Amino acid sequence: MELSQIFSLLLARNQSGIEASYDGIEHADSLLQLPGCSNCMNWILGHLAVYRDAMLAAIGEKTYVSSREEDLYGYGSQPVGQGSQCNDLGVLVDVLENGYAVINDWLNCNQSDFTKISPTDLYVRKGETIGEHLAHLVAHEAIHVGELNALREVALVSLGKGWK
Amino acid sequence: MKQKDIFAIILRRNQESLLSAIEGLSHLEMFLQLPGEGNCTNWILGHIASYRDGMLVDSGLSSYMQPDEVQMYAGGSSPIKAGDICVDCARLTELIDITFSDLMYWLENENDGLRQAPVGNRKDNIGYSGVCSTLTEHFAQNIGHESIHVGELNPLRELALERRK
Repeated sequence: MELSQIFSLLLARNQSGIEASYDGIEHADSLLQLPGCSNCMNWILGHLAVYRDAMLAAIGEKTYVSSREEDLYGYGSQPVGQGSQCNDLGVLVDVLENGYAVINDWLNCNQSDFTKISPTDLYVRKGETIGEHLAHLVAHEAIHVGELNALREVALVSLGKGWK
Repeated sequence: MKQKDIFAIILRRNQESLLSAIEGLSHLEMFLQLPGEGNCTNWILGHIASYRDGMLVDSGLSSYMQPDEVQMYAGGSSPIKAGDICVDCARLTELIDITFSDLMYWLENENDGLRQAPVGNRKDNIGYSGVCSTLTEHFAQNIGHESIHVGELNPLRELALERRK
């Protein structure tokens, strides 16, 4: 199993988890809050989109997220809630799907060079090489994907589904 | 960069995030439930420890968990609530530490071991991956799986902190 196949497998797991989280969920549901200081689904999806862009930029591909969106969803940004400025859920979904498709194509093209030094002007840069950068960002992404599970549960409860 | 480097980076991040999520939580706080059908912290820790135990077995290393402990935290097992029979949170935390140390040591010292087939043959060990032809694939699947469960711990920690107010 090559490096590209490992990254592809991990990204596919993440994307599958992301898609499962918002399946049947409306924009308003994506703003629901859990007890405590957790972020809502909308913030997490926007945050994932910002970090997906940092993967795209590292491999030299077109990015999707604006600086306004980086401010909204970047690390340390304000929580998103009812009445906050935020992107529509559908927009976030499109950005994540498009980014995933491009990264996956790059991984499958057999020309991926993971030892290449990653650009120094990335929104977030982890490690020196593209391989290290991707490993860190894929792991970061997966942990946020895990956070989406509880938010989906609360949305289902709100919709009168899934509660036992 | 080698395959093992990816796994080491992700495992280390998982471990750091996991320890942050459970730091200072009491035994009882590890049974709190969020709205819906999510699992509590105790179940998630046991589930992660079980899968790590399976990676150890498949890599030819010693297992730390008993079959009945493993079964309690298998995929699809019953939710665990306060008062249910379960593995003590202190033991789970110890398992999380020791399995992490062993896996990291193995990864640092493996010499193409990841290219080998999994060697575990314990049917009751849920981390045993008969469907994967190499340890590389088994590690990729399990570590990716683990990261997502680690993320599930964060909202449970927030719930516990909120309940203290």
